[in-house]
Amino acid sequence: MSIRIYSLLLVALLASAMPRAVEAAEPVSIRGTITAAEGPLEGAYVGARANGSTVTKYGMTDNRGEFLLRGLESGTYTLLTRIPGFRNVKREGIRVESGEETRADVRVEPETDFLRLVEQASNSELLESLPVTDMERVALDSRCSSRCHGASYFVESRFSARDWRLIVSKMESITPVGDLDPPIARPGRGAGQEPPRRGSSFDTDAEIYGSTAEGGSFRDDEHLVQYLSKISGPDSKGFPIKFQPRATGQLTRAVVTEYQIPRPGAYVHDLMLDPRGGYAWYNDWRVNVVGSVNMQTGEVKEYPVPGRDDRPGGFHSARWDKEGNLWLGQLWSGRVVRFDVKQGKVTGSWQVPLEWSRTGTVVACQYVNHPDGPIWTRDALLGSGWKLNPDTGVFTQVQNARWNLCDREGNLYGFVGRGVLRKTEPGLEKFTEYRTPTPNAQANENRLNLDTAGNVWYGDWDSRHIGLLDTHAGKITEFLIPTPWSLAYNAIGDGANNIGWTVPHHSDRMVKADADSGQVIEIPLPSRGYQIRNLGIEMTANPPAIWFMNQRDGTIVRFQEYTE
Amino acid sequence: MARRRVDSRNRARQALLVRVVMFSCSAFLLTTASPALQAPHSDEASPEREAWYLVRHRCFLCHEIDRPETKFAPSLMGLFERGDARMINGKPINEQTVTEVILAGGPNMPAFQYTLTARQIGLILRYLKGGFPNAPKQDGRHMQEGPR
Repeated sequence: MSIRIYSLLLVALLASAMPRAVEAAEPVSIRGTITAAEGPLEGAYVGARANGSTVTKYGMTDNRGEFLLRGLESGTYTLLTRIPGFRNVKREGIRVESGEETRADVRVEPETDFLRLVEQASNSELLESLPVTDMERVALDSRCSSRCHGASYFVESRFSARDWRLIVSKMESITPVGDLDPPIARPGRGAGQEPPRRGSSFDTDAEIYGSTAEGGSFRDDEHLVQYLSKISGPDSKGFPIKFQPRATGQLTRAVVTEYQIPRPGAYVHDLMLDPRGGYAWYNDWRVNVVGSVNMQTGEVKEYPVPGRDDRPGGFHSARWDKEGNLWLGQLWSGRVVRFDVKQGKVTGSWQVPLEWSRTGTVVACQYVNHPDGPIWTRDALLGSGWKLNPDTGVFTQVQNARWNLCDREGNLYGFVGRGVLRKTEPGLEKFTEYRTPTPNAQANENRLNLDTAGNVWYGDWDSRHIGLLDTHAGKITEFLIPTPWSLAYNAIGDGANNIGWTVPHHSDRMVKADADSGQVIEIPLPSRGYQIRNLGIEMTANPPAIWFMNQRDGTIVRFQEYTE
Repeated sequence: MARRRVDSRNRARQALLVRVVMFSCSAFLLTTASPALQAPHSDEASPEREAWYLVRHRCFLCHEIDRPETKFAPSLMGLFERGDARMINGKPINEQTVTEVILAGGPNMPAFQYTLTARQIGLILRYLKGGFPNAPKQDGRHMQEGPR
């Protein structure tokens, strides 16, 4: 198997200087101020990228408008600003000598171009800014935004009502990767019934969003066409975008490092930190590729994974097993794949015994040899579940195998309905159910994480919470994420400090929930379109660093707070 | 929202439309400022990446790009390599006639005249003609063809 290696010398030069301990301990490389007509700007992101490098390191300005970028190796850098509402500045040729301080002051001007402002907005901000009623906003979020392409697609478009009608009618019968829906009947949907619709999961009833009283109207495509035409008709001129305030005070003390995957069009789905340390592994949502980022040097390597030629490429899940193999759900191909990260090659691939199956969930146990496993998979199209014996290649159908996390004792966790998180003990006969404080809370498929204290963390999509199951007390606590339309896909916990973290799907903000104090804070991020599926936590860093991905830009991201 | 950049786009689009109308006798109504899709971080995106992004978001929904099958509409694979073949509207296949269709749409295709600029349509055409040999295919298959 060929290995795609991106050897980027300058990546190593820059990335070797990435912070691994307390940020403030490193010498200042670039110092400057960001000012606008109104004076110094606080909470303005400034990034530096060495020439030829794929790594960009961002920091924020303090209350004097001053930024410090620390620990950069010698080289020539490009300075970038990312400040919503202000035109991006890109200043090339900033010379840095290791251990010396370079001055770079930047004046920024207001951005007035609507399309550029749309680029600077998170999906949450776009939805909040749409010139429609609240119920129309709900409809547009459910049908056109929340699970697929975001609001920017229709905000940046201009079509007549006739053309919007054409587009909406076609969107209803394609998959999120642009493939036609499979020619099979789904549960509760026989011949002649209307096709599944985007944003509705796989349950037709879920299309009744909003209030029960008003929801019915939103099943009608014609309403949707009216809303789209109102926002993005041929003569639409755009609308004011309500940006969230920039960070202030301690919230500006964060360093964000973005590692660009060199492959054009990279679209990361799952990110998994290697339990042995050193590498962040990822798979791609649209391409049959697995890759790794060297967490010290930033070097990216990619490995092709064979898939079905007659299906789109891409993955939907990843889990570690006890031997350190990465198990992958190759979604559209309907395969379960075992990938040996030490050798960098596929060591097994099994086709789920159901044509058109989509392997949405693959579960392996990272800490134990499970007596009832070792591998389970659930189909994301029809909902069937199987146990896989990799030695024989035999799939055995399992009823209600709705777990997706295995703890250190071999207990399996998963949501079995809205508001009900179930623990299934080894033997698969004894289980305990925990109710969420929010009645309709529900984590997404395969989206639970275990912390080092043995507690379970999840993201509540619809009700926007970080959820924590204290497995010792048998109690769930949920922490509300402040930003509207956040949509938390997942969360991860710092077991040493009892802190939960997530980057909601559409807010482009880091959320930190302190389970001891109950305090929830949000820290803006420099880019847009993160749409994370999974997060990793680097517990050996001080303070622990959070790893995730940016889907729109094809980057792997490291976030770390610091204090001065 | 009158802006210099959008005005510039409009002028470019108007010039393109005038050429199209002259050649095809098709009538398009020009409107006032209309934004167009931007690739992510467009201040940094390469033309190759922007072209791939545009084709992905504006064409691939209905047309296969790298496969011969018909999705909602005929495949665009090898569109400009079909000899004497004609489009559904009976016109020969060339940049001019394809641009006309992109702008005006058809019975089963939306009109992109208010959404795409002349420059963006140029990027799409160049992509479809194989002018970005290192750009991703729409289904990503070339990613398995070895190191790049």
